[in-house]
Amino acid sequence: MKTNLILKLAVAFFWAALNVARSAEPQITAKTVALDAAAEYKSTLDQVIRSALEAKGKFTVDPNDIATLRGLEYELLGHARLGALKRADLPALIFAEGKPQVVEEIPGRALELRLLKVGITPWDDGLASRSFRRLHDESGGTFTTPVPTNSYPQAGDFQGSYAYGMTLIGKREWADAVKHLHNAAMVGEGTVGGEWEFQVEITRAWAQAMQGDWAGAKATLAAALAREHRCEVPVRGRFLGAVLGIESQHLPPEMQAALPNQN
Amino acid sequence: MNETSTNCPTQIMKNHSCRTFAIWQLAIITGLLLGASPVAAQNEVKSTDLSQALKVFLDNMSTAQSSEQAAHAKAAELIQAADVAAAQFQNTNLPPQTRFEAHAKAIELKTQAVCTQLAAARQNTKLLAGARSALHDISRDLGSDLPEDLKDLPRQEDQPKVDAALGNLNLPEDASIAPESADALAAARGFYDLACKGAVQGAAGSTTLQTVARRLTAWEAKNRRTVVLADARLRQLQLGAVSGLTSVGDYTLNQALGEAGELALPSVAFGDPLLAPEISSKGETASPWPAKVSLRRALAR
Repeated sequence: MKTNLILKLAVAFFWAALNVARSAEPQITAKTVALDAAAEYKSTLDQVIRSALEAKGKFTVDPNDIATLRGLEYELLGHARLGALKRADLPALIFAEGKPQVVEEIPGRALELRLLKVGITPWDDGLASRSFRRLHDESGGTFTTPVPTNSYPQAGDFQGSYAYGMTLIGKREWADAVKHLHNAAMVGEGTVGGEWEFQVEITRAWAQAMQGDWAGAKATLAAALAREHRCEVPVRGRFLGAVLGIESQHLPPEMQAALPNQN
Repeated sequence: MNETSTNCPTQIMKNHSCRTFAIWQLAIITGLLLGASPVAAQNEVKSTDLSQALKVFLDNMSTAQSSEQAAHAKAAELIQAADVAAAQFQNTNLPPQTRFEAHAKAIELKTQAVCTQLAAARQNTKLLAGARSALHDISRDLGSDLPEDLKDLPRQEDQPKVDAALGNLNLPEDASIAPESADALAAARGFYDLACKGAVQGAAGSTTLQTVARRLTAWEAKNRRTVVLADARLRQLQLGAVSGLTSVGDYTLNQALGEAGELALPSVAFGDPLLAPEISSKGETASPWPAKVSLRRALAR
């Protein structure tokens, strides 16, 4: 009887172990294959972004990486067409959706698309229709965030510079936008709370990243974070900070997933 | 006996343990089979059996076409016979009784012709609805009913432009890629083109399915018109019968009165019968239109 019991236990153990082993087998389905392609796409693009971040001097992309990325885009679009990949699982496609004009835009545009995919707009500074008060302003006046305009600003007109700079952001003319946003943040002795300058500088850092000036973006964002700002660091700022390695504040999981990983 | 009696408990024990072991073995095999089935099911490439839906579609379309053609042929014969009778009806040299009878015969034959087509059209309404349902099943099984969230995918026709834009990037003049990269890109592009052929964006299905669906829609619309038109023609024939009899009566009366009367023939001419589009075994339909028609041309009268 004792032998029987041992035999039963042994067989039961063997059976359980076998089932566990079988259930642990990787399941190759159309969806898993498609998700593998999505992971490979992100990994390849992460590598390009990392190369840009670490580049000393002018950033260049290996043409093979471009071909690989484009090939993976075709593959992913094919998977999506065949229903193996849901829209939510389809990564933002740098070429098919991003359409960068120059090589230098590729990393920034990739990050912008990733943010847009999780519902965050890097250019939404939260300043629209809000009023700010200047520090030590003799007139004691406040100003309201201007709407974007095509009018070229006069020297010293920080509001005009902001309005024109944001128009340039819309036109994706990064170099000029950076220049005008720099002027927009020059508000005499500053604003009460410093949120105006803080948000404008974050936008400027993003614009620098978009044109491939990663060192400039890092310097701008670091300076913005260092200055007084009586407001929370926006998600777009935290994300860019995490990309540039200067900020380690909390990011939601979907934003962390959008960060370029170390390969 | 002794030996037997002493061996008996051992034998029973052995038998019992053998039975238990056998039961366990059975349990293990069952367990393995049960454990394996979900894995196998997940790894299995799901393929839908389209033969049933395709058979229903082709059967319904073929039956509808045969029915319509048979109805058309029979209607044509009846109309021909009706024309002979109508000619007699118009012959004023014949006695009124003969003309009355000819008129009645013509009306009856034309009514039969219309009824034949009406019956076929009514039957075809059901057949075409069945074909429509089967086509929907085929379309859905082929995966052409893409989820709503895939509708905003980058468009296929935009991809060559994207490729061209990549060529315009500010890469070095001598930028080149490895043959393996070129092959991989070409293979991926080929896969994408294949995927697009199989399942185009949106719920309408592949190009072939779209074509078949369009023609089925056109046929259904024509069938609806046939039903309504045939119904109207039947009413016309009823009026025509009265009108014709009146005209014969008037003529006879006029003859009797010595006056020349006008023969008011009813307009009961049966127009060109409506034909179903030809459906080949490949699901292609013949159309008087070329493969592509400009909208303006289609709208032009």
